[in-house]
Amino acid sequence: MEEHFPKHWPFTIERASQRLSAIARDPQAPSPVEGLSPREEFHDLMKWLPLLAADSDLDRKAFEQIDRGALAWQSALQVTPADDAVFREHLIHPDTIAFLQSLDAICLAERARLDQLQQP
Amino acid sequence: MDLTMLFWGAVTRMGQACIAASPTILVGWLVAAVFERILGREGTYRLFGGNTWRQLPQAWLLGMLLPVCSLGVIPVMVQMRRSGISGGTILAFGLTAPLFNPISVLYGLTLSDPWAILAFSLCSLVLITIMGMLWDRLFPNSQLPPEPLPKTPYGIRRIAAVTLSMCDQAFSAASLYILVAIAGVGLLAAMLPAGVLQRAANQNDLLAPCTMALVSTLAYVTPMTAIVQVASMFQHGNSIAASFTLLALGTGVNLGMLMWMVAHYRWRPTLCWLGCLIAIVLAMSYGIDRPLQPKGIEPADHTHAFDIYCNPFTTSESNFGESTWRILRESVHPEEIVSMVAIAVLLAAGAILRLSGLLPRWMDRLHTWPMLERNSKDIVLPNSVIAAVCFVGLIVSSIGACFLYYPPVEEVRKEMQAIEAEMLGSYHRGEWEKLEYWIPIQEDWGHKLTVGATLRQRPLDRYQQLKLQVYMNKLELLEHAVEDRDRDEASAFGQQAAQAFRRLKDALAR
Repeated sequence: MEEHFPKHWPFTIERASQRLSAIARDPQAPSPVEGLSPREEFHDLMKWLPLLAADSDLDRKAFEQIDRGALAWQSALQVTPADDAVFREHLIHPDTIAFLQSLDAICLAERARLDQLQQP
Repeated sequence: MDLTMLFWGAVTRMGQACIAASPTILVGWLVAAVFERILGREGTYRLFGGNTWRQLPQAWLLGMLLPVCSLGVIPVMVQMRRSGISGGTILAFGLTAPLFNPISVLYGLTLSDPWAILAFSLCSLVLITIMGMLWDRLFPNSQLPPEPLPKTPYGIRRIAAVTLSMCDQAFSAASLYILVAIAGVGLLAAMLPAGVLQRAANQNDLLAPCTMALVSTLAYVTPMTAIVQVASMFQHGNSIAASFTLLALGTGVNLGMLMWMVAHYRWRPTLCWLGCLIAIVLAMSYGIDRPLQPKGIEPADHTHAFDIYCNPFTTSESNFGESTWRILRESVHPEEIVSMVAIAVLLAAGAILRLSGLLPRWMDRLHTWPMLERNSKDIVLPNSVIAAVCFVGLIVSSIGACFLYYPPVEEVRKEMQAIEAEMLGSYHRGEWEKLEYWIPIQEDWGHKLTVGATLRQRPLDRYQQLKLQVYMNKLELLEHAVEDRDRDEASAFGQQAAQAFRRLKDALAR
């Protein structure tokens, strides 16, 4: 199955959120995928977020919130040279922090909903 | 080398080409008959701009509007030649007419980048202008003097004359060139092993347009298939240069058309024209590759778009005859059955009328038959008005056909739901042939969903678009698992596809 996806494809929005938060907390930590910088991984994850959100049971409102944030990140990096210094600057930007927090909250709420559904 | 496999592979691809081409061949005969019997030689000559600067742009515009393919265009080119039109204009029309028609342009505009389709259209205009001018410069006076043709009288006799002309077109030398073109498809399938082109159009492959040029000259592609392939290449991040080469050469040129050129203009001009065409197409392809590269798309490392040019069979197959029959049966759509019946009737009628010598006698009788008493309120419409109505009617019906071909979202959703129900469980049980049949149909409905919504000015919003994209991705993964006959993967992706479809359905309901 793995051959159809990039090595750092997270499969679920929840795992993507966890990886994004981990990179934001420690941008120096090496990526688990060999030859991939944290900046590249972060950027790819942001790019895939809307598709991952669409591949979940998240409602339209949550989807739109994630989509807006991901698109804003991508357009911000399109006009800025994406080197490591600029990347770290973007990571500590209040908008990025707020977005990652809201993404985390959406994923936690979804996890809680799914857990509740699985309970007998 | 398994000769049985090569033979049946060629037969299958030729059969599929005949089926796919049947509606556009029929339209080609109708257009040729309208040119001959309603417009007449002089009218046809004037329609293509006569001997003025307008001849090439007019040939391009008419080519864009008429729904013919590179096989159906051959009888039309014959009529153009008989009308004294220059070789450059005939070849310009012959090259453009199969590239686009209203339905395929609409599909392309919705599913690919609209700028790319506009760029492709403009490139085709530049291409045919250069090729037409080059031809007329290198081989001046390549036109024949118009053949004399008596004027067709009005009324029912005009309709009868068009019908007889269609029978005549069906059983004519033009049909032999159509058969040669179809034989070219078989030759290509025999030469290319199954799946050999899957990595021929990767984004960073500099040789991709050259490979495509080599293959597509022999290939036959309907305008619709070509635009579906181009859209798919855009969506999968394949080489845009290869995509344009495929469109220009695969859709525009075939072996039959080249043989027709050899018969009418000889070898040297034909080869010179083909060489220039390939060189210009390749130059344009490399030129537009970077600027039109879609942004934000993960390039796929392979594509199944060109599997239809290769042999459908591998050595693991055993019963080729049965498989050929199954593939052909599954390839036929209702409109193609109607066209094939009409083609068979016209061919039979043409053969009987020609061989018995009745055709020229009946045509003469139509011209000399005494007029019936005219009702005083009858208006005799000039041939030019009838021809204009025919062409406008063709365009209007093409637009109407767009609405039929791309149904409203609700109808598409119901169709997709029925197919999803058909597939449900098949992936657990490993019913590969059933899945191979339904997955492409479901993918086709997925594309129609987007176009149908846009056509009715209620395009899918981003939420719905991405839900659809997720579903289409899952279907593609399921398709790969089915190809590999991998039951575990098929089961996993099938379930994921079913879940993605449920979400798509919910998104569309809101």
